[in-house]
Amino acid sequence: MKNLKLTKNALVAVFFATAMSFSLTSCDDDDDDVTPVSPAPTGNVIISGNITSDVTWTKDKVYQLASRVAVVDGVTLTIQAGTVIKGEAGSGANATALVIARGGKLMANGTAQEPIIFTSIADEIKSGQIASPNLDPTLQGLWGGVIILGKAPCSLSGGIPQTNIEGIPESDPNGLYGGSIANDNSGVIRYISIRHGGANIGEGNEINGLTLGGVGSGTVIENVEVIANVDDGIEWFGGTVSVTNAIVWNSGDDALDTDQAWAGTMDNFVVICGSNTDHALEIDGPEGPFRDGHTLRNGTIKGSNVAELADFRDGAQGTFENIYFTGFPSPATSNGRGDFSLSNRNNTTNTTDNFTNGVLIFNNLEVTLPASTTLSSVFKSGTDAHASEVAFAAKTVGADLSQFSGWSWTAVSGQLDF
Amino acid sequence: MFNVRVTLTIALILFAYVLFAQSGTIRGIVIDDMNAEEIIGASVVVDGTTIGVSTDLDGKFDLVVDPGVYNLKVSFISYATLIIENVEVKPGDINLLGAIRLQGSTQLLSEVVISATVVRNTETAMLTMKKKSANLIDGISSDLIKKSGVSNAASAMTKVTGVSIQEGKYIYVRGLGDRYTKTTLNGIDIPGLDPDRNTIQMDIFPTNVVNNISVSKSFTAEQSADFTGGVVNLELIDFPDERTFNLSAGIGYNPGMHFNNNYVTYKGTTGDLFGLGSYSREIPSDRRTSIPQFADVIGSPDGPAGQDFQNILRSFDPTVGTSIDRSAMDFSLGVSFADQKKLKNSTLGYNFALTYKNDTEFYEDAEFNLYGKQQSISDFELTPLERQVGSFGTNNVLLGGLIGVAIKKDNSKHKISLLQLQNGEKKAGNFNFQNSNLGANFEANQYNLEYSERMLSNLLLEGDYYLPNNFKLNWKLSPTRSSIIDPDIRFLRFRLPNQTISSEVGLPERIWRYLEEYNVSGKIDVIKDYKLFGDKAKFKFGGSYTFKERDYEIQSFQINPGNTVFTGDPNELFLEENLFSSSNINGVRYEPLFIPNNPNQFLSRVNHLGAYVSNEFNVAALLKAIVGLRIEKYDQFYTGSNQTRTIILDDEKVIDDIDFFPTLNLIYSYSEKQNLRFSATRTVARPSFKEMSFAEISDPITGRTFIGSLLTEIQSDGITTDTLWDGKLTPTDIMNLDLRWEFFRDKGQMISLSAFYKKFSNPIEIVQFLSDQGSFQARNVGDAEVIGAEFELRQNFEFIRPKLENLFLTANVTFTHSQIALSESERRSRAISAREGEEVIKKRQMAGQAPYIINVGLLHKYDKWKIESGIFYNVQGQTLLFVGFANKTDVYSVPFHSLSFRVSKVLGEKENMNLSLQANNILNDEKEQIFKSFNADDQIFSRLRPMRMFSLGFSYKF
Repeated sequence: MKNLKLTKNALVAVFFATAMSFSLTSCDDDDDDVTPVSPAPTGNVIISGNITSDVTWTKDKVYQLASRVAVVDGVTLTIQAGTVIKGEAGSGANATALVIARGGKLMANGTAQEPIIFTSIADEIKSGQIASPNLDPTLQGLWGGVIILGKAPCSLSGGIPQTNIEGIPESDPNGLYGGSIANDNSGVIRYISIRHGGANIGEGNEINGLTLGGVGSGTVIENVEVIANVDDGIEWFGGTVSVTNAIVWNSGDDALDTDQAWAGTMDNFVVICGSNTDHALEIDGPEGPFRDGHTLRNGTIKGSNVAELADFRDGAQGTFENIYFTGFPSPATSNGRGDFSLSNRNNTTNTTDNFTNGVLIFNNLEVTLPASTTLSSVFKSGTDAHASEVAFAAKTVGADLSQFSGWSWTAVSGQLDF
Repeated sequence: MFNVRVTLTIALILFAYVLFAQSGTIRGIVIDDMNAEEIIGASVVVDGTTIGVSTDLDGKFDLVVDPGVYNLKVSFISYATLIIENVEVKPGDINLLGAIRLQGSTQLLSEVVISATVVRNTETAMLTMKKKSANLIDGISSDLIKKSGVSNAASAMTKVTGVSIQEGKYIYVRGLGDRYTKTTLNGIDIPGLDPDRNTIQMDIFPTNVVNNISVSKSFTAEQSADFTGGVVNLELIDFPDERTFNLSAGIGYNPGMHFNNNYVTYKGTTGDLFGLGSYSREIPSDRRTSIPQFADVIGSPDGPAGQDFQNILRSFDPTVGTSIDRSAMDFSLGVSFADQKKLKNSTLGYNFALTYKNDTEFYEDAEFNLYGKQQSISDFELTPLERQVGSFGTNNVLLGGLIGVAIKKDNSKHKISLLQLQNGEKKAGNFNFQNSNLGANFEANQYNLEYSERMLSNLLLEGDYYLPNNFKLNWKLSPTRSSIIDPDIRFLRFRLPNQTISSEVGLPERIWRYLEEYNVSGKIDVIKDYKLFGDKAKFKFGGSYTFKERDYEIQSFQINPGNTVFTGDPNELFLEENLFSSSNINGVRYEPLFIPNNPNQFLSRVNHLGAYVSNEFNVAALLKAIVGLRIEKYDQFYTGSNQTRTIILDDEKVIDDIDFFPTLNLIYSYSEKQNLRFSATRTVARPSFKEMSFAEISDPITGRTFIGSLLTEIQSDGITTDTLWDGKLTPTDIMNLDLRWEFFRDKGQMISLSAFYKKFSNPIEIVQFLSDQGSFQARNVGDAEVIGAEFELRQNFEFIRPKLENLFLTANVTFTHSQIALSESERRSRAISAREGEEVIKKRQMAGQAPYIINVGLLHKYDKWKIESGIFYNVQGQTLLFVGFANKTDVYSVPFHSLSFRVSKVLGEKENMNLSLQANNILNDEKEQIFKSFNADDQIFSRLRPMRMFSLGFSYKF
């Protein structure tokens, strides 16, 4: 009977082992809220969830975005001049952002005296101030951004009529843009400054300072500033809207980025590259069968030691004229940065063909080159024929900087005093 | 954890101390020759004496006699008595007679005399089971598994008709995808180790714990109704016939992968050696759902929240980069012990097994690409969007233990067994990444570090009773806990040439995934043997209940580098001088993606109740019928929310399904050796926990996002609105028809031909969003049909020369044709992106359904030298893996031609040693998946080179 007794002991051990393994990793749900996050400053109006009826935000209050807030179809959000809007912390799908969904309207009529400021909860700025009292203009990714979506045509891959804007999860139908209404109207945006945003969702899926997806030509966008965004400053995804007077400072990726056959005009713009800006201008071609192009004119672009002037890619088309570049490195000493290039899709000549055939047009480009750098080493693929080297004082093209003085942090902080 | 394991191990070893019997023992099992069922209460007597026993409720007997040579007389009422001559008994030895077949006395024979050597042929046990079983069964027995010398259940399954193995571990029946194959352990549901799959990975079961593996291809009422392609049941050993103490060891050498000085790995800990790597990879924030964020602490980096932030930041394992090492070879160790012991009124059987495996793989020039259609519909060739080429290494460790005790009395048997599996897989990859996809254009160095730990604890309690009036009752109760932790998946890309990190290349990520599932299954079956129309008949009824609960959560962080400058070493990311602090405000910091809303957190549970009646009887002399009806109630509940928290479900019922499942199986045994079978059944396929959710799970490696089916897709061009998916996923109804002709010949030869047809209403497929090709969702799509044929042959070459009796050809081939009606979103997408001259299809083959599977083997046995050898070929036809959408096109697997050779020799005077040598992938084929498009060259989606593999195994029986 000796071995039977041992068996009993072993059985006990088995049960013990089972009980242990059943309980080992199941006690992890009680640790929530160990350190409460410090509450937001009082007095702010907390906005969470979507805006589903017309509302006006006034400058006597600070509006605090607690989540991704969508102004849904048929609803108008009016923001008074001088109002400050602050996004709470949040990353990925939890990034705080103001989304104007298709059919929604934003009436943000700021003025040069009282611009509307979108910034982070970490910013101690008050209505009436232009510069942040506490945040450095290089701090990025503290919240999401402003996303305006419309029903104007976009050239999407596979020829599909609509898609979800990058930066918004697929599950949120308020992220859809594109359609067939060219003169669609998403409202009026004047004198707004967007800062410290650009929370990133994933590779190729990020929130730009100002995202314009399928925005129609009935929309008015004038005097826009984007500072220290993780991704692009302003990115157009198709649409027909035109923008006048834009300034982008310290963008993490590209300053101005166009995709999906945007068919509008950007007139009078300034780009001040930051320490990790990629391209000042990233101009992409249509992605689907539908083709169109856009115009960028009257720009002044100041580079940084890692930035490129411009990249025209994948069948880019449109007209780019009266643009002045300065402050870029020599491609020879920067691993090929500091250039103005035409990039074809693999195994094709889709961009260079457009240039040859006059679908991609350059006029009156001027540049102040770094020492011992030739014009053709910067302006590639024959684009140097449309560019000329000038000393700073001798430039004849560029932005009208006076449009930005007074209301933009870039101007106020002296960045435009070249 | 270690203490528990040590206790367990000691307990197991204690079993090894057993007293030896002095006299000799004869053991065997008495079965009905007609249906291979065990005969309970048959008399087994030493001829001419009164020494004898009755068979127990397994039909088994155990006769203890003095050494000598005897004739055994086996008899039972209404069967012809069988005399087995020359049964030799040696002192302290056990003579295993195997299956003893009694023939019905209607055969006009009163007594049959055979010799002991004829009885001992368990080799064909599975074949008998197949021949006589009421439903369509294929399978492999422990005997054949041992003979084939394979090390795990997955490799053993490649010998079964209509079965294909994917990724070396998942079993598919008849080429139907994972959704339609189910695996059970000891006849009872257990959760697999992969949350995304229905089936259990088979490579985790070492062969020394497996009794047999059977594949049922036709549904009978006592089985669970979520049955389509087939149910693979893995039966673990319980009552050993003889005392075995077995030690085995094996090594595997792949010249292309092992002892390679370029092996890519990353720094781990000793826990990795035992599959316990999660303990050294804990989440720095203790899984809290409220932690400070960067914007909260910029104002006062050294305040309480700021200090918390900095502590968490500094608790991330600073290793982000891969390291280069020399790869080890594969090795495995196994020990198993089993015996039975006669007690006063009962028999005690027990067994335990421990197994350890450590496999290393290294793939150089591995490719993962994305190609797309060009913009213009007149451009046919596919254009590269992403190309990822590089090396990756994996190290997979499996530690498994099984312990089982069974007590058998005359009319009852009780069994308890515990299975514990611990598996850890460490993966590291270093890739060159080139992106030319929409709006992005860059080249980067990519680093991936991953670890996945899986644990399974399964307890089985079982009782068998032989009751008066020919009633048999069996109950089973089986609780299981399984968990999967993917602790600290690390991802980083440096953009070339300047080694920068930006949003364009994606920010570095750290991801923790937790899955924990509890499962309790219970089952009662009652069988009554009776006479109907003068023939034996069997009435069965019973019920089952399964409770499942899954707790799922992903917590992930992005690492924002701020304005930090890098030189190209990924481990610079977490250098102290780069991390956020009051003196480095714009330093490296984390961004939690799961705060405040985490759609990737849910709790699901299922209540699954089943009851059935079934009757097996002879309609006519040679025609047997099994008619049954099953009723099931299946309720699934979900607790979780969508990302915006506009929809919150709190333990809400998402599936409420009550249904009847009639079954009809007919067997026409029109000759002694030939059967014609027919079955018509109705079954169901239900959505998984993950599918019935709001989850949005993104995979950092493939860049794909899985979206739960509770979310909708609505399409609108600004003027008209269409609902492409309404968020209501329903179970699939399936009608199954099977027809099979079988011809069983002598010496284990056989031929069979089958045809099958399945009709699916509301089949579920993985569909891409029309508005986002990177997002996938399970949806009900248009109706589908599968029609197929199977052929199986086991043939020796005696017909050429008698000597070639020992050369065996085994072949099984399955052909299927499937078609499914396209979902609305897919139909539109195909129409929009069709190339010039391309016909837009309305139906296509089902995703995951292989058009053909071929398994061929040539086996030879040379008794004189005790050598067995075999050469095996296996291939699966080009299978649609991912359905193309918008500018993406269909992805297919390329047939992998697997040729392997195996030889094994029995050594030692007592035949107690076995040496085996095996060569796999002799053709050195590559595993490829390709994009296919109209009028275009195929392009690679993924390519891996498994290279040739040689393994050596040795086992020693004490």
